Formats: sequence, structure tokens, C-alpha cells
Amino acid sequence: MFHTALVQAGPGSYVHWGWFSVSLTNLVIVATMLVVFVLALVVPFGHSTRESGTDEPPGASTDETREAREARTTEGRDGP
Amino acid sequence: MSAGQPGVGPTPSAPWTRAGTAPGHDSWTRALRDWTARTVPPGQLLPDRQPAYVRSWIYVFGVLTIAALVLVVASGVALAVGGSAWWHVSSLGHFVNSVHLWSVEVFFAAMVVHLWGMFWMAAWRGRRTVTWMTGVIAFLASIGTAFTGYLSQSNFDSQWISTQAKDGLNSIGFGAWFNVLNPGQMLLWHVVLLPLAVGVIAVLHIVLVRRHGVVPPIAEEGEPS
Repeated sequence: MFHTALVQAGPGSYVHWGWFSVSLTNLVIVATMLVVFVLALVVPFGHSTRESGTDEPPGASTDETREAREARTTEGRDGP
Repeated sequence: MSAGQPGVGPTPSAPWTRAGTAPGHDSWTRALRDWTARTVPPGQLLPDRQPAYVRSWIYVFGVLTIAALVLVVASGVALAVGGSAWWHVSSLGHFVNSVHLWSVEVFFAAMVVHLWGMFWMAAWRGRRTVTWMTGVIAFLASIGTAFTGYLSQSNFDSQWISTQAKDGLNSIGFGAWFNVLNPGQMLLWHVVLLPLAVGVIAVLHIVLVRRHGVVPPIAEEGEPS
């Protein structure tokens, strides 16, 4: 069994472009991470369950405007 | 000043009160408390509301990195308790060892996607330079921690990696202080020094994120450059 394990842990497959080479495994992982990155940018996140039943007075503001205001408040803070 | 206020010491008439010091500058305890309250005001550390633009998957990867780090540390503690014979031989040891490895994989993958998102968002905007730099240092310290982890596996992989790395480290003059052929030294770097560094920097990074708020998209109106 030990011999079999050593044989299975062979050199693996590599992809070469001129001076650059990368193992097929690492290439697949990097490609997957790039796909995840793009999906994270384009896939909608969904909606918060707190959008209904807000504690704001009726008609005072939507979540969007209120949180945009919070964002501006955040920007005004001083650094350490 | 009264003893009834939080953080305020005994009344001035008490015999152990320091005399002749100006209020607010009489101890490092007070100075540290004031700095902490100034850095992360009440309600800002664990807010239950976020700006609308945070409703995006790209903002999830920072939290995912923290979650993976918690799992890395927890499984690492279990491995330290069990020891190398345990993680090499027993079924449970194998499982915990695999959890440690794969949580590190998730940790790095999530951290890199988080890094990509923050880089293309120019997350150092709006007085967030220190926040960005702590993230950079945490990333570099994590690489060192992972490297010493590979050296601490106590198997053929760790032997191969250490002999491959020694020449590079010796060529830049680090080999005398950071000897990859010394498994005891590498294990201590891996389980004490570098995790401590990553933990402290990660906490500082999170506190700064809470202090300055999540960076908005570049298109957000009113964002100072």
C-alpha cells in the first residue's frame, strides 16, 4: 500500500507558457477563485428581512437613503 | 470626580490617591480607556446595521476569512494537544489534521478574494490607509504561518520543503535566525510567534474597519478620495 501511495504521488500535470509553468491543480484553483470573485460582484445578495417593520417613522426615509446617510456619517470620522 | 462613576477610582480623600496630577492625565489606565472609547465609540464595535452598499457578496469574504481563521486556530489547538503521533496515526487525528489544512485553504482563498475586492475598490480611501496596511501585514504574516506549518507536518513533505527553502533563506542572510532545518524552531514559530502576530494584527484590522466603517464603492456619492 505504501508503494502504491508513493506511485500515486507522482509529478502531476503542469501547464507551460514559455518561462511560466504552473501545476494543473493550482491553475484550476486560481481559475475557480477568479470565477468566485466575478460571481461575488454580479450575483445579487438578496434582501434583508428587516426591510419591513423598520423603526423609522412612516415616510421618513427608505433603507437606501437612511443607510446612505449612515455611510456619509462613517466617512466623516477621523483616523487614529 | 466620584467613586460612583464607571472607571473612576477612589475619592480624593483616600490615602492612596495620587496627588498633584492633572485630571485626565493621571494614569495610563485612563489614557488607554479614553483611547479605546475614542477609537471605537459605543455601538460601533458590533453594529446591527450597515450601509446599503454592503449588501453585496464581495463584502462577505472578509467575514469568511475571520470564520476560517477561528477554525484554523481551534483545530490547531487540538493538534497541539494531541501531538504529531496522534495526527499521523489515529483516525480522529487525521480528521483534525485535515480540518486544519482545509480551513487554511479556505482562509487563504477567502482572504485573496477579499484582497482583490478591496484592491479594485481602492479600500485605502477615506483615511483607511492604516486599515489597508494592517490587512497587508496580516496577509504576509499568514503566509509565514502557513509556511512554518508546512515545515511542521513532520513528514516527507516538510523535509522536502525545508531543504528547498534553506538555500533561498540563506542567500538573503536569514538562515542564521530563521533556520528551516530546525523543526523545533519552526514549530515554535508556527504555534506561538506567528499566530500571535496574525491574531493581534487581525484584531487591529477589524477594529479599524469598525472605526472607519466599510469602504463604499467608488461610485458612491460623497466619498472623499
